[in-house]
Amino acid sequence: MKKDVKIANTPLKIYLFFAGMLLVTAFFSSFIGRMDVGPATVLETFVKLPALLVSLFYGKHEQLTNDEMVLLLIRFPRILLALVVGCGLSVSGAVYQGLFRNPLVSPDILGVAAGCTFGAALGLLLPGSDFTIVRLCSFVAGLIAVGLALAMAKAINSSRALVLVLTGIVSGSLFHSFFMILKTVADPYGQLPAIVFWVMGSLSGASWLDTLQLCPVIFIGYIIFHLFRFRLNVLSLGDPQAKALGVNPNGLRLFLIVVSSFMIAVCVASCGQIAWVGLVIPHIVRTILGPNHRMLIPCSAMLGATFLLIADGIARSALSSELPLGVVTSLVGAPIFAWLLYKNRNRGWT
Amino acid sequence: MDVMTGNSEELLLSCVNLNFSHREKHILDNVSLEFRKGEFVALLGKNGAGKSTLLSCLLGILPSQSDHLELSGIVPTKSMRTEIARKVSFVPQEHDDMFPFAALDVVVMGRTAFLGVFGAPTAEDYQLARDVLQELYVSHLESRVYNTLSGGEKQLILLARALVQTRTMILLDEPTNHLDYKNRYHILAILKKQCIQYGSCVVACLHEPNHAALFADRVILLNEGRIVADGETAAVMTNERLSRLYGIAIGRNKQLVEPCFSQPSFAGKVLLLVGASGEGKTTTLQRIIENNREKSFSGLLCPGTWKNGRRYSSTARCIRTGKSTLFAVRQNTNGDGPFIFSSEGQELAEKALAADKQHSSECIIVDEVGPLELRNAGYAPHLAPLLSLQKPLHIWAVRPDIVEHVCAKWMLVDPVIVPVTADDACSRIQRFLDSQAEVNNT
Repeated sequence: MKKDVKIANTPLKIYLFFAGMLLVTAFFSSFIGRMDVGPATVLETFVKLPALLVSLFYGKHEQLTNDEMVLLLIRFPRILLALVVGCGLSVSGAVYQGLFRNPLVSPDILGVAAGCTFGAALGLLLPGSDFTIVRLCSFVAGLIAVGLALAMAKAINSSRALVLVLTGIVSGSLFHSFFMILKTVADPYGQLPAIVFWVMGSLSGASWLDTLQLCPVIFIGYIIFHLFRFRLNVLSLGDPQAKALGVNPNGLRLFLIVVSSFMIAVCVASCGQIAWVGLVIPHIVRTILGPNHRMLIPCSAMLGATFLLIADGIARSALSSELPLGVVTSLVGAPIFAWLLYKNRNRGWT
Repeated sequence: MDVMTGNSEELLLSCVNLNFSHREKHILDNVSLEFRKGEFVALLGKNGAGKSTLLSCLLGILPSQSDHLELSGIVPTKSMRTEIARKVSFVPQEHDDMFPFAALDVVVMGRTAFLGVFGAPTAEDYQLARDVLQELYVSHLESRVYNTLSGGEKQLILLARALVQTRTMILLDEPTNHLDYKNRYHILAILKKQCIQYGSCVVACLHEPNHAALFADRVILLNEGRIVADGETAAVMTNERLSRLYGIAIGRNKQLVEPCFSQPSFAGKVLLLVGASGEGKTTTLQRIIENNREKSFSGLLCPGTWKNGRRYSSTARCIRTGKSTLFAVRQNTNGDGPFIFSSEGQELAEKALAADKQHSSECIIVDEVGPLELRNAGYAPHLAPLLSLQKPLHIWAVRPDIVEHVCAKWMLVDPVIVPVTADDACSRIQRFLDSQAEVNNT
């Protein structure tokens, strides 16, 4: 019973494949939407992009055509946001799965997402709060939830990863019940639908400002993961082996958890809870390329971005009204995941 | 204690009054030890005696209190993990719960301590990992998924990872657990080789006192966290001490089965006639048989025909009966392609090498032990039974590039190696036959 894995000796080709897929998807996504914009216009806008951005920056909107306005002010930021969020969620998913040595761990295992959701609901309930405050609440609550999980694990004083998972469940369900309380007290005609819609996730509110706020966090986080990707292999062997091989697991694990929690918190705070990306994408890449984080991290980033772009494309074009993004990712992700489980039966971890 | 008399330059690891307790329970109690270059140290003790804990404390993986703990100039409980990992490697008990990494990826992780914080293994690191796999004759496992390997293969991969990390000092936690009868000795023999060839210090927890008796230079007996005895293997392993340690009366008995390599009569009973294809191994063997008509030879000769400078066909000849038949011929008549074996030839070879028919023979000739046998095919199933026979000597024809692998695989002790191209090849083989005959007669 020989089971070989491909040892990637031509990573460049694989990178080019994933990057190509990403660019093609991004290009086609710019046609999709309620207004028809032809490929020629898109190309033309791409060519003129620097000049247009400069004029946009100085507030000279009147110089732009309608098509250019749609592309520049709505579609491009939305595409960029999808790319960044998809990348952030799937990379932190890959890191969490490595850290917890469990391929079925998703990035909200430590309660980040539950905290963020509670924070956002709180923000939506507060009188007179605008979208910025909602996001800030969400971000802060997400970090508090993770902090609580980490603090409980620290108090239990066990360095076993399982303890962290358990405290994560405690913290997550605590914040989830807070969130339920908020839902019951919310005004069922105005606030409740807003909360429900926010939870299901959407990129529809994308503006250049949000996207540019998100970019540095995700970018820095990705760079950190990329640099530590070989260490992640060693960490995934478990603490005693990591120590024997020359890695101090506790500090590094905490650091990586904090970084990925930041990434997830900003993602969830800016576009709601988008399920499945962080779980399924690393899993898919692991089936194709093996568990070595050397390839897993960059390829998860690219595939995650592609996946979210496609899901967002479906969300905004499938029905006459926009579908919530979280629903689309689940609809697409769940069957893929089931298929992967089936395909990998009797192999590795399933 | 005789361990205290070594050269202090060779001291690798020492601890004085090392204590470790877990939940108010003393696991290790005032343990003082020194480990030196080139030693094979076996750690014996019951389950729960603290063997694994001791290894973890020496590595600094578990925090311990001690008057003194030093690993080649650093303190394991305080130093950076990288620094420790460069000086000592660790082979854990075989375990499954890891991502399905390729075996090579697992081995290359041994280089972690030599990479920067953000480093990834380079082409040289991969080459180093491949070299070690080659050294342990498991190159073919390189791209297999670690989790799907057998217990013995997993242990070899983990051992390769440790060798890639450092050979200076290797700690092993029950390296022979879950291994089959042969693989246990195989792993221990590899470790012993590290001590002799590289001056490695090997410290292994073992569960089988016989393994310690066969391989260890020094034995430490550990009972309830205390050192009961520490010293040269034969001196420490008395029946009385072992009985006290394990709580079961232990004596010595020659009726038990044990591998031949540890028995004195096994040493030097195999002659390897080394030569590349077409250098005249079979011809030399035929000449030897001609010159020694009074001796009873058995086994198999495979004279061949050549085409375009390559072996084209070979004939199997049973030396005992003199019968011969076509054994194998190349697929294509121009001398290309793989050999096609004939069923009559294979049947003849089976009979010629069947161990139960060779008791009276003085010398068994096997022409030849090649790559096929190294993959457990061909004559391989017959070789160990033939070696187990008390009386006969063996002459195996072997190609030069696999001599070491053949010696390692069949655990040959002091084999006589004769290159077929040497001028005095025949007289050396003759001397081998005569000298051993004398030994047998006396």
